[in-house]
Amino acid sequence: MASKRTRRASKASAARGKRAGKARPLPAERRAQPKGAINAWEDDPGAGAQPSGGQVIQRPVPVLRDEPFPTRIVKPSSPPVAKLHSPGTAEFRYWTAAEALRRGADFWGALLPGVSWEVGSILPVNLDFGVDLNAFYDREGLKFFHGSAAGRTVFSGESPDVVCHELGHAILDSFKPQLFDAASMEVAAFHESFGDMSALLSALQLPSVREGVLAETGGVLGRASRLSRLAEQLGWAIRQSVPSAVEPDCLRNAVNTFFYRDPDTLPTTAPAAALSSEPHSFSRVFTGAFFEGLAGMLATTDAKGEAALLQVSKDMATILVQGIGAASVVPTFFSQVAASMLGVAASQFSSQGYEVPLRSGFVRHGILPPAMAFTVARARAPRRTVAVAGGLPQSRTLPTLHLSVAEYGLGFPSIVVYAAGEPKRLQVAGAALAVGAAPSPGEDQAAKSFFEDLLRRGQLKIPGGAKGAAEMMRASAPLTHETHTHELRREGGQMVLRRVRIDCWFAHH
Amino acid sequence: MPRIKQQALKTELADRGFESVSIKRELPGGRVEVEANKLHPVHVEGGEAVYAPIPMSLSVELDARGRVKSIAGDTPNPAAVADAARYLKTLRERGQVSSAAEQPAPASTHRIERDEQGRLVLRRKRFSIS
Repeated sequence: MASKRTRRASKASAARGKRAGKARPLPAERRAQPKGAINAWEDDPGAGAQPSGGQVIQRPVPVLRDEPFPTRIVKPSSPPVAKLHSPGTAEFRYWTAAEALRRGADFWGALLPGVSWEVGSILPVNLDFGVDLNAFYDREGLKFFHGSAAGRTVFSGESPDVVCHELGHAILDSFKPQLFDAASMEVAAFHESFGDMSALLSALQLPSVREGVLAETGGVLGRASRLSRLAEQLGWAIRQSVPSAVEPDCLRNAVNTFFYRDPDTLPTTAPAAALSSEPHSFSRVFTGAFFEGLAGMLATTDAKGEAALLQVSKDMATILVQGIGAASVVPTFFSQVAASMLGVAASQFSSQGYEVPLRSGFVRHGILPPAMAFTVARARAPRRTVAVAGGLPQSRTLPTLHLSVAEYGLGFPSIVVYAAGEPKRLQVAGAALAVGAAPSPGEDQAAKSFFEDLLRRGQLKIPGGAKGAAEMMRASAPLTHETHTHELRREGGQMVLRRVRIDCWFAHH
Repeated sequence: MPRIKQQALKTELADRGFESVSIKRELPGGRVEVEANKLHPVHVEGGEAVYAPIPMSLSVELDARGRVKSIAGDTPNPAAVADAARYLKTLRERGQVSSAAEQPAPASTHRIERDEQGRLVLRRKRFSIS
């Protein structure tokens, strides 16, 4: 208890200092940059499914005690000589952790002026707290571990991905402290997602990562890559003892197809291939939507190159920080943050056109329903009206149905669909999650569900006039050809939903 | 609109049982929107209630001197209380919560401990990478 009071007093003291006009030194006012360089891992010691193969880069000597967000490595207690050490040495591990800490702190500090750590003025970091395949943030500092797997010793603090994930917890705790203790499944999962987003965005501050990932993905950021795969080496180590606990090639992958479910309906734990209410597992829904939004944002830029990726990463972080700040802390926290982020994108980044790709990510991962996602930004979208009248050639195979779609902002109140409205031969339905059969939807509800599903999956091509309001981007879609399966066509004065192709699901999810 | 003395307001709200207080914005009519957690019973173990921090959004009315005059929204939302109860249940099922008397398990992220008022309270101790 005494230590807690000390920590609180330290934070309060820092706050008093700020109120009294004690200016926090700006990065530009830093002490002189030490000469020389150190070696560090780019993002992780591992690569894909392997525990080794990470890229070594040279970086300036980091100064941890500098603002913003100063840190201090307390174990080892004194820094080794700053020079180009070889991987596999304790000296290399020290400097690679220090480099990641400094980079992450600089990145988030630029967005959070005047904010200090929840633990006090300096965040203590222990690079070897004991034996475990894990890493922690508590309100004392960051703690990393070492552990053995298949004859190899793995140090979690050696991975910049892991360091920037834990640092992300501390950063989020500094500007939204209410989340730390909140007894809520989605809030806990969001904290984990923020850790992963911190690792992703901090990695993108390195030119070599930006160049590497663009080369690896052919410029389509939404594809799985060294960037989307988090903590490959730690994932490998955990996989040696519990293969189902992690992804096949990393700890978690930000490129995923997990769709939002009420966490109360999910199992408490599950293999990595499935979703559970466990916070790390459930966090992947938000991280997946975020990453898809990020990829889509890059796709909206003219250059789509390394410099554009750097700017998009900074813009996304701005949207994220402000969205979190504005979001109410409620059980459905994911949707609160997502809606707030869309509001920030619409109001502050309208000229960049970030809103559509961001909304697409949230809708395609089920964090926001399409109509609700549209409503968030409806105040800014021009209303368009298209008269719908006239006859329609009837299908010989299925009855047609007029479906109200006014809430999606397409610019016309209804469309015509070919509904699955034939009489049932057998009274059967799909299984419910819990017990028995799921309720059978009526034909109009089924058609509406189908239509909304097309929107969510970005499989619907919408005619030009209504495009901006409701179209969903798929960041992983090829640039050279269309892959949507359906389109809205004007036929006889009405908008008709038509299938244009059948695709392979796995190709461009 | 009285000038908000943020630290004084946080201290006053802390005295009234609110934790992790964040002042979001000023509202019309001398009110301030505040986010905070408040301990609320969510479960009973061995005949004794276990409290958990419930996120809340408050509208605090200030008097001319900037002191708390009234608080609206200081009753936890039933949905948030239910969420907290489910959260505690899943922590139990995953072995992530220990009691103050126990040695924390490696996977433990939370602890149920007795506070200064003698209540059993669920507290997060740390976040982990996996």
